[in-house]
Amino acid sequence: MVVALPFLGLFVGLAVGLAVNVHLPATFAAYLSVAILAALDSVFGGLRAGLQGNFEYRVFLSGFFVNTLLAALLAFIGAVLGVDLALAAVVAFGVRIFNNLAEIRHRLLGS
Amino acid sequence: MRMADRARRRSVLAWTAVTTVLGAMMAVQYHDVLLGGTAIWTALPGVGTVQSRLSAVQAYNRSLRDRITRLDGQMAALQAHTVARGGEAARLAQRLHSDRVLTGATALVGPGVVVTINDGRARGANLEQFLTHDWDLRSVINELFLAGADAVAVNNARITSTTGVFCIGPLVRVGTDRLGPPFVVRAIGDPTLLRDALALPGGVLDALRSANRGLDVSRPFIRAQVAIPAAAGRPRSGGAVG
Repeated sequence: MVVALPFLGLFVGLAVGLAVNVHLPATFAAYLSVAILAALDSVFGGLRAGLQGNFEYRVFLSGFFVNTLLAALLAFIGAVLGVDLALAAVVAFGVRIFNNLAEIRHRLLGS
Repeated sequence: MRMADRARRRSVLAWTAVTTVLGAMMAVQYHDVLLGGTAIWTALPGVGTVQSRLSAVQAYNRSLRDRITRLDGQMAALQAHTVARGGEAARLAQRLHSDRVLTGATALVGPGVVVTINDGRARGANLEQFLTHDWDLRSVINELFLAGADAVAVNNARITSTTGVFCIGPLVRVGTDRLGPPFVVRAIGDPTLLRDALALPGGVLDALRSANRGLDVSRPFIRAQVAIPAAAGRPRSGGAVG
């Protein structure tokens, strides 16, 4: 029963985001996409840790928010300096997400 | 055992917080994708990207305008209901309605006149003479209002107290609409009065017809049913009349 709470949260978040109808200026939309990648990475990392049995909610929470903000901040700094750090973030987080997914799959298959 | 329970509860709460924020972020991003979407590295968006985004934003604006029209319709129905019920509220609703007619916030249908002005065909020399200009339209519009018109529109652009009529190149901007010929000027009011005001010998229409302009100006036709749309792009829609 309690396990359903995070899913409920996801739907509440989606509903609020869709209902509020916020439109980011085009320049900030790029940072949001990087932030979402970081957030997804944290979520999959958390899933993996949970399956491995070393989930620690402090690490998870701080990792999620700090990673997300830092990713957006780094992308912003990159844009200011003309260095495409957003691209680097996409690659780095993409690799991590797929690594985490592979690990989760291995755990679920019990090997 | 209690310790394990607490840890479990905390981790569920952490997950809930995280998924809520993630959901909100994804929803906001989804809005952005709907508006033409941005690639992740938009440091230098290309012309194509900007153009597709522009058309997406325009489509979105169109859908919002449709929604405004729909909501305005619902509001009018509710106000009609209020009037039907009578009492002080009905008096206010009627007052509101007449104010909305004045400000152009509501579409109108009624008896009136229609006059059509078309550009002339340029024959060499002075091209400008053969175009319909902003002041041409303004003279007709002003004459109609002076003759007591309740509402005036050029093509589909309603003229309100804040509507500007300006030339932009060969087109005329009326409010937020860019119009090209033919310019169909519609007015609701006392039809014969409006027609006579326009058809006055030496009046505004005669002035447009003369002076080697070559403009194609129709007679002012009386119509029993002239439909005039509500003003677009008004500052505020809804209860407050803007």
